[in-house]
Amino acid sequence: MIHPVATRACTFLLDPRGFVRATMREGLEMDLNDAREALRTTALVAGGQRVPVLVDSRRLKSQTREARQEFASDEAVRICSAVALLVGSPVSRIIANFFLRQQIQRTPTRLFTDETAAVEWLLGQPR
Amino acid sequence: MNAASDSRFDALLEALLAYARADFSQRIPISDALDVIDAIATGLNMMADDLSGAVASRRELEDAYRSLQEAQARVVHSGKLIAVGQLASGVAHEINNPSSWVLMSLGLISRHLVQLREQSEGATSLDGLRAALSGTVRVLEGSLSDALEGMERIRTVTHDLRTFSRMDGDELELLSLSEVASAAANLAGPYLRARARVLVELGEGPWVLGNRGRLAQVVTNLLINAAQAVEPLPGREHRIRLEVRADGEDALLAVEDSGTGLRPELRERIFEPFFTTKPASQGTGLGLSLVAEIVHRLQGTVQATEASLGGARFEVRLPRAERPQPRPESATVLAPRIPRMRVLIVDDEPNLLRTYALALQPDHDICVAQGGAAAIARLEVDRAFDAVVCDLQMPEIDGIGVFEQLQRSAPELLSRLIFSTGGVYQERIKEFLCRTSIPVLEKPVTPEQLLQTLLMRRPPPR
Repeated sequence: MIHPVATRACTFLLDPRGFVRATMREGLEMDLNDAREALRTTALVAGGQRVPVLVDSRRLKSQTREARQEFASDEAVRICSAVALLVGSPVSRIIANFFLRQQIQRTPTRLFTDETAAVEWLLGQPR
Repeated sequence: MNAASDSRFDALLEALLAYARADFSQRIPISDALDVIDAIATGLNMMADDLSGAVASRRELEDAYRSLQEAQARVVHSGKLIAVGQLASGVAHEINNPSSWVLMSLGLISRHLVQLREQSEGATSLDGLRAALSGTVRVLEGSLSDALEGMERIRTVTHDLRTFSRMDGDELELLSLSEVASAAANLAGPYLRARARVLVELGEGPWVLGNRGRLAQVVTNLLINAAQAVEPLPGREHRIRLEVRADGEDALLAVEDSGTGLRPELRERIFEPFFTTKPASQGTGLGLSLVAEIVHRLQGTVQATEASLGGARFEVRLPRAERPQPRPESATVLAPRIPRMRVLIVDDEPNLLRTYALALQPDHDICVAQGGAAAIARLEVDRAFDAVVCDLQMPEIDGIGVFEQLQRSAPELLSRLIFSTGGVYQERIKEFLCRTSIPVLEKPVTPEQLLQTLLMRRPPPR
């Protein structure tokens, strides 16, 4: 039985299909500390392996520039082999698009509104 | 629309107005609705985040740029000091040699005058006295001529050195490139001659718009570079050639040597700061980069090529300027006879006052004042002077002090005032001279130069 790990910002779960699912809390205003903790926890949940990550940001309210930069850092590239960003609200789409602009070419990253499509794409990415 | 959405739009508008003023500190609150208005607000907030970061980065860049500029200024300054330092020993040699024969000649004159006095005191006949006098006069003539020649040599060296004192300014003037090259070659002469035979070919003019000190630095650095490129070997005579001439629309200055030359791939890099092919004891890698910087500022080019002498040739091209119109000679200066004048000479150096008086007194009435305070005291009671020659740099009350006092109490004398100086080093005096039209005599001054300047300042006869 795999237990989820919860932090102030997200809940993390290692999916048996081999990716980490990170679900952001409703109304989350994410700062740099949250971003660092999210990366550390992802690595922990993945047992130190580089893994694909499904990020459910549908209920994210805001994200600071520093947090965004942290997700584009070398550390993030070392931990995440691919990122599928689940978006829903107009706000989460805007935040995700800002993130994508910064993320260019470092880690395969795509936006999805449909979870099934997101998982399918994620599993097709090379580790 | 309801009141809640009104206030959200107001917040958007307020933030947009702040951003329009380049104030990116405002952030728009995001509601829990996470709707389109929130999306717009989020986009604006994130753009403001990025722009604040860009502004901060720009400030960092500006700071870094300022630091680089300061570092560059320090590098440029140290480059100048290196050039001057390399010339210093040569300059000392150029001054010490003539100084030693000037001193010997003066000693000889002094000894012969003592002898003459003794002979005249002990002379028993007029013929004996005439014979002694004749021998002494011959010695005096020869020794005085040697001493004068020596002093002339020293004067040339100090005049050339003044060219280098103008290295810090950026003022442009119309000048003869050959004249500047000649001054630089004179000063670098001893340094160059220790390594190679120096060939100097200076054409008429050519005239360029430039800064005298900086152009002298260009020539000196190229000459020093050439001297360092030739290895002094027994049985082999190296050559360095300095050439200045007009070439079409350009003024051409070339320095070449008979050294080992430059590999083609290094000819561009040689002008980069700190790039050097010389051992650390010789090359700092600054000389040629400073040459390039100065030349480019004057809209010119500098190029390294192969020399006909076998080594490297550095060719500087500057835009040629029109030759200045010669000033019409003043009729007064050409006047065959100099009228008797009454002159006040002000200087803090008593020996100089005595010499001026001795040189001019037979034909003119000379009054002297040692220092500015003495001059002011004298002028309060006696103003009947055809000219006042005043040293600029004196302790306590200097030339400017005397000028200001004349402005207050005897403005009619300002048109008869002449300054003299051994070199202007103080910024205050430099600025003062830029503002006034009082003529300045540069020491050392010959009696003829002094008289010509006095004549120009003399009031017209009534």
